[in-house]
Amino acid sequence: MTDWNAIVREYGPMVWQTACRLLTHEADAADCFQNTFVSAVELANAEPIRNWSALLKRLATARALELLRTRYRRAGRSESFPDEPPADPTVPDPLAVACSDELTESLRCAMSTLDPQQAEVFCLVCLEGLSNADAANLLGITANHAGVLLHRARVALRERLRVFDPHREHAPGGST
Amino acid sequence: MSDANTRTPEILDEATKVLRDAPTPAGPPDELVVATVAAMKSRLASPSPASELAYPQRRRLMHYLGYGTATIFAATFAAVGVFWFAGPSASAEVRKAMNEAAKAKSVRVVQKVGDTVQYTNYYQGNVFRMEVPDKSVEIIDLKARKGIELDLVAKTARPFNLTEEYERTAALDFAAAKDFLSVVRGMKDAEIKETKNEKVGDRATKVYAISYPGDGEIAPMKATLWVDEKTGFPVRLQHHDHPQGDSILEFDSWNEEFPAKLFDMKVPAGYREVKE
Repeated sequence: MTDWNAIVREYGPMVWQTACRLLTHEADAADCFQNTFVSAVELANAEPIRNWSALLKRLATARALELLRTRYRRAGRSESFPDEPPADPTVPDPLAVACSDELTESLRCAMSTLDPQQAEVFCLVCLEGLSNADAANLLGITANHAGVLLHRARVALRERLRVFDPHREHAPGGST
Repeated sequence: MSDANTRTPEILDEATKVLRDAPTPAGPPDELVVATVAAMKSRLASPSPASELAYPQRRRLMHYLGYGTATIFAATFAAVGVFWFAGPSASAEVRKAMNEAAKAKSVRVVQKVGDTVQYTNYYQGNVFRMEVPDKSVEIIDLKARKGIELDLVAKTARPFNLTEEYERTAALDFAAAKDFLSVVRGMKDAEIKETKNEKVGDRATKVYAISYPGDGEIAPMKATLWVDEKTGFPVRLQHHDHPQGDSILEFDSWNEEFPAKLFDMKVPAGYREVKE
């Protein structure tokens, strides 16, 4: 019989950190935390779980992304994400911007607009530190497929984050 | 490859690094862990598709009742329940207080972290009202199987009906909130000390320091409990070691009849009704 207390105690911190990193808001993170473990119960009812850590990491990421999509859909930000860089020439230094909450929030927003599977692969590999092969194994796809999804995710995210590149307007072919 | 192509990836990499390395709490609040285990056991008792969790109102209810209040009640009074096992000196009086609390028809509970009020909850029979200061009010009637959520910022009101799953979950949470002693079974080895009496507002109280080492069900905790000398009801309970400051539950209005308007589900004047 599964010891749910022990599982929540052991893997709770990992799930909580994933939820907090992606969601920031404590109430959303709490929802994600609960949803993750309840989803795990349902999966465990259907089949034996061999790797709780990997499963919960995947579930936490998926549930957090769902909440992110809901949040931004409600806020209407996904529709209004800017295509062009701001006209203001006093755009701050890119590293300073990168360190700002605005940039990470924009990355969260951008992830919420990605294809769900692309977003999941991106989070698992780039934020959770899994290899392409491990992420593929979790998602039940081939490593090559994971690589393709990751590539597409990065291309889409770069496009959405162009607004933060102050040099773009001077680049050949770039808008001015 | 253009300059743009060489520069923009740096922004993505930098944003990814900042997000990946952003400091996150070491672990979830103990109340959330307890609520989550309860939710898992509840789901085991009545399996249903995960998609039901997508209902936002159910998640809110789970959060508010399961995490925000009822489970704090449960965890808190579970710890208080250890008086049963901890020794005879303080146990009789506290046992009586817990019995009275479990039988109470109504109570108002204010939950604070540090000095900040997080929730004010009203329990009365089958109805429940939760106020989040300056944000929202949620009223639920389990018997009528309906509720309403008011957004105090957007000035919107969203009436909703309780689904069976929603109702079942709410019923479980209500039961947990009402039956504080239902979770004390199996607890042991708590250290309880009666300390000097204090006044809380105008109420004379007895004060108990509780230290519980934790077990498979309840996390380790330190808490202080104030019990009304006159009525025997809990007055205040303070959880120490909360990451954002001590978590405090303040209880009053035990068995008092609350004004009916607190549980009125009509859309208030000045509010726009929104549908599911």
